[in-house]
Amino acid sequence: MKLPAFKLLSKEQDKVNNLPLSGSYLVIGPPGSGKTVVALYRARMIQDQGEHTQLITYSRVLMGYIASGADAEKIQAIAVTYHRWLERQYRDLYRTQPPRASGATNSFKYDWQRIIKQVLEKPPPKGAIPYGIIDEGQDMPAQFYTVARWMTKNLTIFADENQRITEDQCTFDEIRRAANIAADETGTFRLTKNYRNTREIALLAQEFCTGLESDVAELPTRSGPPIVFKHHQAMAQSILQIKRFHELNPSAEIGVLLPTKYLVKKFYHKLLYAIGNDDVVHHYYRNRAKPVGEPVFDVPGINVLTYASAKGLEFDVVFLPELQSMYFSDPTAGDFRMQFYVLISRARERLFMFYTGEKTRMLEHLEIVVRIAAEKAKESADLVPF
Amino acid sequence: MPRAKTEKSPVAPRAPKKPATGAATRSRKRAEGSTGPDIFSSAATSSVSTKTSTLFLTNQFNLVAILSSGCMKPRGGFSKYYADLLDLVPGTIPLFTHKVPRNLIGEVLREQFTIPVVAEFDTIGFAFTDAPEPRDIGLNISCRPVPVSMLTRIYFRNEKDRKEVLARKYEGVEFALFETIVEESKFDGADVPLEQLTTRLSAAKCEDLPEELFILADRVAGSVVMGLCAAEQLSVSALDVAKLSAAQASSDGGSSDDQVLPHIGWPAVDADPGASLDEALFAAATHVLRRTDRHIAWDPLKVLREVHDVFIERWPEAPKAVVDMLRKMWLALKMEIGYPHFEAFDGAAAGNALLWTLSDPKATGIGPKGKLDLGPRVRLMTALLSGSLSGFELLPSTSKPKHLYFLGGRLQAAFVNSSGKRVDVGLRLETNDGSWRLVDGGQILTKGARAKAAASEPAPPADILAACRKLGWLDCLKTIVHPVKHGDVIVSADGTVTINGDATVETVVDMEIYRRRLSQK
Repeated sequence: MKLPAFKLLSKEQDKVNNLPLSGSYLVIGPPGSGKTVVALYRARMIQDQGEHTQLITYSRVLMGYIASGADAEKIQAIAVTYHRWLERQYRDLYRTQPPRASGATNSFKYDWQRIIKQVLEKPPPKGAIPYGIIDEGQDMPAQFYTVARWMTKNLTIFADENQRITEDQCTFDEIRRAANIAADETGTFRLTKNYRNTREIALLAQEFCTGLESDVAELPTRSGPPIVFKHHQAMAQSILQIKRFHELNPSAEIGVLLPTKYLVKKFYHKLLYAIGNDDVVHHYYRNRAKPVGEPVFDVPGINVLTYASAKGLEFDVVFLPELQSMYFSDPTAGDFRMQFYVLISRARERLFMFYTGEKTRMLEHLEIVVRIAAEKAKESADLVPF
Repeated sequence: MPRAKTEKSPVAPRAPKKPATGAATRSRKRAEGSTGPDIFSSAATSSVSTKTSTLFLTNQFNLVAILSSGCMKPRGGFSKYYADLLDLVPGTIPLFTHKVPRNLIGEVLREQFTIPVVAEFDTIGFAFTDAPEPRDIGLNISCRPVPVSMLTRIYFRNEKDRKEVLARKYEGVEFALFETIVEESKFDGADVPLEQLTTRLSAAKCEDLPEELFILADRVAGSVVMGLCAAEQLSVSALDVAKLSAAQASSDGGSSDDQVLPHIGWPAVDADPGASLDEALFAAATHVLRRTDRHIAWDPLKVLREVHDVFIERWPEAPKAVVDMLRKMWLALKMEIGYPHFEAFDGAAAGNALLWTLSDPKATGIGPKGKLDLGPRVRLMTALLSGSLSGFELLPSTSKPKHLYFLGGRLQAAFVNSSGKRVDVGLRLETNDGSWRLVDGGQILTKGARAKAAASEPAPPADILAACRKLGWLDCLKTIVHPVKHGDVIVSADGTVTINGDATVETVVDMEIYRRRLSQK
């Protein structure tokens, strides 16, 4: 990830980059609007003022992605997952681990009431806490922001509520209430332009947008090849196609996104066998809270990841094989749309969607949506200035 | 005069003094029969400044744009603009002699999060535009860009403003090259009524040029600069250059585009080892222009080093005057360029420096009448640089090209026809009694006519053929077998062709497919 020069930043991005050093802010924007880029700009600026800065994300994969961008730009700010950040901050301040919810099976289920009570009773001194910059802020629970508000000097939160994919995730109103951020133009800022996708990909993503506050980005003028939606006889056929694509485009960053850990593991091994080079094929998933594999960013190659790990990332080319393994009872429901909105918008240049076996109702629906988006792209192609 | 804090770079940011070339430029333009607007020319009348400095009031956003572009331009030159005084009378740059009027500060703070700044330019010898009595209100007016190499100091109202502005770092913007001073008194000049200022600025009658001209100037100027450094490599061979470029792109750690890009168009270069400087420049600029159609990471500091190495250190046979000229350009550019991304590269300042140098006889001291004449191709580049094609007649004269670009070493123009469709036309440089023309045969070719013209064009150079093979673009190649006698060819039912006797085999390039390949994104 390279930070763009001033000339390439939009006025909206300039504005966010010029938010005063002090104060907490919410920056909302759809996929590809440059939230992570501006977050890195802000981290560098605050870091250069001699302030301790932490870039906080939900997923470990996104943290790695941001850390690689920060390294490339020599930004010293520490990228950290929200669990690790909370654990460490809480332990440093209160000499104990943050309390877990009683009866929780997941070690990351916190007893937020007790944590908030502790923080409010004994708030940490402002000098001992860092600046917090949060990317994909919609991923964290709302209570986290009540805590983070007291455990950071200032917060700048980058989020898109259209990209929530689990029920724990929060809305802008919840973030603003918890972090005490104004909803007007003194606290909330918008990024609206899509810099990532081709027009074809953006139009398809738009079909899945749920239309919440961050809304869809302005359509890009950059055009690209059409989206491929295809039936394959077996998984091997999808693997062969990905292999061929990689051979013809060895410099492309390719993301292969799958619905389950099991499929990631299976697909990775088959793809690795087909390509025969583990410098090219990488994978990542969590097995009982332990990470397996390591994704590699900003270099040509193939990353095989779960849908959940793909949030916040981007690739030149995205393959979505084994779509029949996704189960949604209602393909028009909000969670289905948000999931596809996130997945589709990961692709910069090309998007391939494959399924094997019978065509389910969900796949029929998907195929129709892909066709509608393709028609819209064709109609609008004549309007795009050369 | 309070001076709360001053920071200065260890490297003095002063450009070599630019000669006052307004008169020289004008006379040259007149001699060439300039027809179009010229973004770098001065207005009809001008007066040379004897003041040591002038002040420009703006906000921090426009200041960064000025620093990153290497040039203070009129309103039309900003692709991203934040309201300031350039908006009062588009086309003019208002500069104040001592202090900026305090009542005007609000004009630069109309957008959220803006901070007022005053940029001080050392304008000795700079030709300002004459207008009736602007100086009674301490005003100087310029219709043309002012290079950043003239900028010496940046003033802020208070330390908080200074801290906020300097906290933001952008690629290619180096505040450390200038003195940054907190001095409130610079913002405390006597009020000048807005209406009075607008009237004075309007009297200068500057032409508000469209942004496209500046963009064109940026691209071409940038390409000339880039071309300077690529010229030596170009004299090797097209494929060597392609390889070199691919290696460079991958060593830069660039994206997939960077690695794919050098293969697009590079093989079409037709520079030869004995190319003269202007041919090499032209070919190099051709390359760079083609490259700008795609994103490419390019390190201009490396470019500058190469300019220095190639032309100043390792070209012993170069005429001294050329070396001197290049050295001057290099020094000016060193201060005016610092962009890691080519797409962000704004060559206006570079172009300005080039024009200063090329148009001033004293700067070079060689060529007819003491003027350096690098030949028609460089003149074309400088004309393109000025955004006006001045000195050249463009046919068809009624159509204005939307876009100029290079393909296969030839200048192409894209027009929009009456049905709104894009039509691409190849242009060539022709001379007639000393005046140069860009000719396309007097007509805009339709798709069919273009195909016909392409079919009748001469055989492509052998390096295109080699390049197609090398790149695996086999669909560009056609193999033609020429039997000695026509009757010796037997085509069987299963498609097998049998030739009895001698035959010659020829491989040719299908230029239509080749061009399609080149233009593929």
